[in-house]
Amino acid sequence: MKYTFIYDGSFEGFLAAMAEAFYQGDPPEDIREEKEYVPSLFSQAIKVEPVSQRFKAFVTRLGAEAPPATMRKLFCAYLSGVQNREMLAYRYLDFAFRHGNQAGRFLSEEAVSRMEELFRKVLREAHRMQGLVRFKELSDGVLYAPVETDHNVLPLISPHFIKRMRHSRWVIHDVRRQQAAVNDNGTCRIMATQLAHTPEYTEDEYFYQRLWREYFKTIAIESRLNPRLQRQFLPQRYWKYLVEVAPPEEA
Amino acid sequence: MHVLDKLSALANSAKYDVSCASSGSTRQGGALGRATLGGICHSWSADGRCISLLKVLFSNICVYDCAYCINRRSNDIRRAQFTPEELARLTVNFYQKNYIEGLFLSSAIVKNPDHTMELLNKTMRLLREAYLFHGYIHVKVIPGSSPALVDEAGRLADRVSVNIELPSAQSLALLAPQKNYPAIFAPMRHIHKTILQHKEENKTTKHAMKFAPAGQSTQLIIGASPERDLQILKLSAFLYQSVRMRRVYYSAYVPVNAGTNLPALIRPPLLREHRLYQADWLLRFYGFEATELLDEQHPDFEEGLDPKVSWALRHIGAFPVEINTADYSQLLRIPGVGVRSAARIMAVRKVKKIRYEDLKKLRVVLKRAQYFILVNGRYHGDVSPEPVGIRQKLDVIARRPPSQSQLTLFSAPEEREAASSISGEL
Ligand code: SF4
Repeated sequence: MKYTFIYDGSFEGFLAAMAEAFYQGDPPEDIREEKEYVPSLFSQAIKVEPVSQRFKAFVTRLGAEAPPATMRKLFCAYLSGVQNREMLAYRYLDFAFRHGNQAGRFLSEEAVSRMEELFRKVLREAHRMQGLVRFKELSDGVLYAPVETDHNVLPLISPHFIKRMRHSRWVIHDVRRQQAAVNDNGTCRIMATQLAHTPEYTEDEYFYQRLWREYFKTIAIESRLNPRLQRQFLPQRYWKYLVEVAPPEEA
Repeated sequence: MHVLDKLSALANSAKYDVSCASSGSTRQGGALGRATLGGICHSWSADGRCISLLKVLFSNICVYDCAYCINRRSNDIRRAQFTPEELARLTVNFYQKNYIEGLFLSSAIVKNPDHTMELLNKTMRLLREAYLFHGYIHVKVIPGSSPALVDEAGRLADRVSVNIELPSAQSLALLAPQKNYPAIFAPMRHIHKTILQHKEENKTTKHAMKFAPAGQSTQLIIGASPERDLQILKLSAFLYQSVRMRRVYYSAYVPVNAGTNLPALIRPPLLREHRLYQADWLLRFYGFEATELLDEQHPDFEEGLDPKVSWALRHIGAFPVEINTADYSQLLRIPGVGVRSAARIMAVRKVKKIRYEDLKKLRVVLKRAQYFILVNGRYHGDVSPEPVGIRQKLDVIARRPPSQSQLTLFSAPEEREAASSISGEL
């Protein structure tokens, strides 16, 4: 009977599950986060402890045998949250261990190209969000930015905003995953977050929002209007928190 | 006047300038801000253009009267002028809210070039020194302002640009009588020299000052004057070479004024602008020369075909190319193969033979590439590799003569010749 490995949902757990799967040798039936796991008659479930001796050995092996940037790719696959991310990563690793440093070159290989694609997707959203995050000034001076993203990009975008605004207090709130990156003077942490009440903004905030909307409207050239192109670059699923296209908030 | 009205008027006056890129610079360590190397788009306006910088004029109260410009003295438009403090505060607040990556600062000519340049510098000084703003600043150098002011601008900004606007001295004289080529090229050369100097100094001293770390760029207006694509592309190639221009921007002429010397376009020549950008790309990253892409017999790009396909069809003898053996520079010349896919092909080839089915995963655009390649000796095109058949497959504008709407307006042949080869003028 094949095994299904279950982990706690952390990245360490994700890696530990990989470690366990490779230790067992035969390809697993599945690898699943605990809360996504549905028991099955055809496989035996094994719950994986996050940090073990085997985990450490595995991380060392990754560094030695897998192509460069593999850790980053695994991290992005993990953050992607897509169904099947674990098995995708497993198949990639399986191929990578067999081909070592050359593995990245086998782009025509299914296991490699799908992993690369996922990697690119997550990075693309992270890059996009560096531009699309909108901070609003709360009445206590904190800059607050709600976002809703396909993937869990907070860990990827936070370093950019720390460099950009090290000395301000800001919060990027991933509404869908109920998490937030919270920065206070260069110390940034990601923590579980839910809004206790509707945020209150400063007078200035509404003023600058008006200015920004006015600018946004004015800058489009009438004879070049192309809303389709606009939506292609700026998919509508991101509009909700974009000051310039969302319905104006009232003071 | 309220800041909102000023912003509206001065953004409106600036919006026909196309250079919105914020890339090519890294600046770090300030209290507020960081210029990133790749450039970041913060939004896309309803015309599909990336918004990266707050692009406004400092003032649109112009003493000049350029025929093609919405802000010319003789136009009846809303006039406004920021104070340096107003504009600096606006920039910092927009930046903090992550609306923008920085400021694109330009201006109409207020009183005279030096006075204008001084106002722009003052705004930048406020931003850098009072607000400790380290975001991106792209500043327009006002032609005719004194070298000392240009130097200061270069020290404060990430990128500087002097716009050429019209692709020949004659057209500039005709449409912008108060401007002239020497007054544009002098600061360009000066900036180029200073950038080189700073690079040298940076090698020896640790804390040498930055000077326009993102280099310089310029803009050409397309379709307001009779120059052919060949002449425009030659000018760009010259600029990339002689003053190490980072970017040349092309801006399809948007008819905002009527005038005897101006073409009466119905729509801006967007497709032509697009073709020029594609060709510009081929110059910078694909190893093409301007004179390969166009020549006296073919002085304009075909609107229906991208410049690479058009070139390949005229050199069909060089194709098809075997994907598994061609060298890198040959791969780059295949339509449908980009810089990245060429690199991928080179990488994959080291470990295995490439099959036709693999090409899609390597991001080769088979729609075009199929006619120009062999894979392990086999041709996969859906028509025979003849220019006529391929053309029928790839031409997006079936049988519309190229650029007709523009050329008929400049039918007099002398006029075309008057705009002589650019190398003679520079
Ligand atoms: S100098 Fe010419 S192009 Fe510039 S704002 Fe004045 S009229 Fe327009």
